[in-house]
Amino acid sequence: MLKKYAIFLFIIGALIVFQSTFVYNSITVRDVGPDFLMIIVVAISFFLGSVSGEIFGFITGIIADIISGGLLGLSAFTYTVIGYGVGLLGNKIYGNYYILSIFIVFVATFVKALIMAMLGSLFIKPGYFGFFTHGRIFLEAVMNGVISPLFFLIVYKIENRVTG
Amino acid sequence: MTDNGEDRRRIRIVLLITLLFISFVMMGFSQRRITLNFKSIAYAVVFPFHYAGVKSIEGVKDFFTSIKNNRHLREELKETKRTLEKYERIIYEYEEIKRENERLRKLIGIQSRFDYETIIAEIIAKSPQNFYKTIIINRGRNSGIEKYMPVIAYQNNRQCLVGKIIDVQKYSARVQPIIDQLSYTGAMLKRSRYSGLLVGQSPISNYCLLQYIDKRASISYGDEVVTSGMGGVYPKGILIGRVVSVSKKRYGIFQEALVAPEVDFGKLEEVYVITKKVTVSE
Repeated sequence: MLKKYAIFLFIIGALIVFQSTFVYNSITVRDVGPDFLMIIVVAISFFLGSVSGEIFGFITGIIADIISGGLLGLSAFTYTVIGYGVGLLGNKIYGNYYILSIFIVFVATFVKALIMAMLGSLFIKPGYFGFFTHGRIFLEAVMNGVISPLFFLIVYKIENRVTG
Repeated sequence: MTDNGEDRRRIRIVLLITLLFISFVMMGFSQRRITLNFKSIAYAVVFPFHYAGVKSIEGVKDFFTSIKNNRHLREELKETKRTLEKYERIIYEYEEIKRENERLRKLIGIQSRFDYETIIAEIIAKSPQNFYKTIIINRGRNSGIEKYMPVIAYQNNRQCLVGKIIDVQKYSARVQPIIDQLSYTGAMLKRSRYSGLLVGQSPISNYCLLQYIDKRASISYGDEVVTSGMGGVYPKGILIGRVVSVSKKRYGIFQEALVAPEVDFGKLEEVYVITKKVTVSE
């Protein structure tokens, strides 16, 4: 159990570091890149349930907030909600995980943008709501959706191998 | 539902409420800047791991890039030597012209001209979120960096504004670029000399909006926008960008212009932090 959590924490740490390097810029389109952190939180929540989802969401978000230097707690709040929500869905949805992952991550990106925009408007500046209405979030949602099956596969393999 | 299932559901919800409450409180305190020290402490803990990770990834990238580029190095070396010789001649001529210029300035009594003392810094990381655009540099308090120091860069042989320092650690500092939505810069149109307030538009766009420009100002596409020196953070006259569109409302006394920053933030590798203004001639 602990070994599994340690592996997931290591992956999250590596993704945070990768996403903050300029190497990440090479995979962006019109200055928008996939949010690996959100995808991994969604994948972990889907397979491990809502308790793990919200804990991993909170940890991922808080580290991302510290490194971003932005509003502390904004990503933590958002990823916690996403982790909890997807964790609840994980037990109730059946079908091909990899196809499902595209849809779940696509929708989760919009939920993320909506929560961030609302909290941004509340705590930072009213104009932050613009992030949700702007086309950039659609581009991010498509990118996240396309990449998500890979992350679901990785989390699924780790979950199965370490558990049993 | 069994007792066990009910307990699990209760734990889930209590945990959710607790984590959301913690996040919410942090956001509240963060805006009142009470957690500024907490943020700094937290980043100081995370920084060594973050830095090591970033450097490792870039090291791997550099390794493969250097192998790929090896064959071109000899040719580039020859070309660089030729360029160096050319620049040495230019520097010699420049020194001559500079001395002559200073002598003439003294003769005709022109007022002081200012230049800046800068510290060069390497960009080591950027925000991992699409939501923010902050960048982290490898110079901090130990190099004399202080909060609100202006940051510039040289691109296309021109000095242009990047942003300002918003957080300083011992070995690193965080830069808020001018495109950030929370960035406000006193700016003016270089040609017409009308001033306004430049506000970042990221994450919505990488342009900036120059607001509160007098409606009488004539603004054209491509007009240069420079710092106005108002506000006391940025020195006057640093190039910010160029006007790409103008919006003039029928009513009201102001107009707005969309400004494309001169700095290409995607290609930025090194920046210069202005530590103080120095007089170079009298």
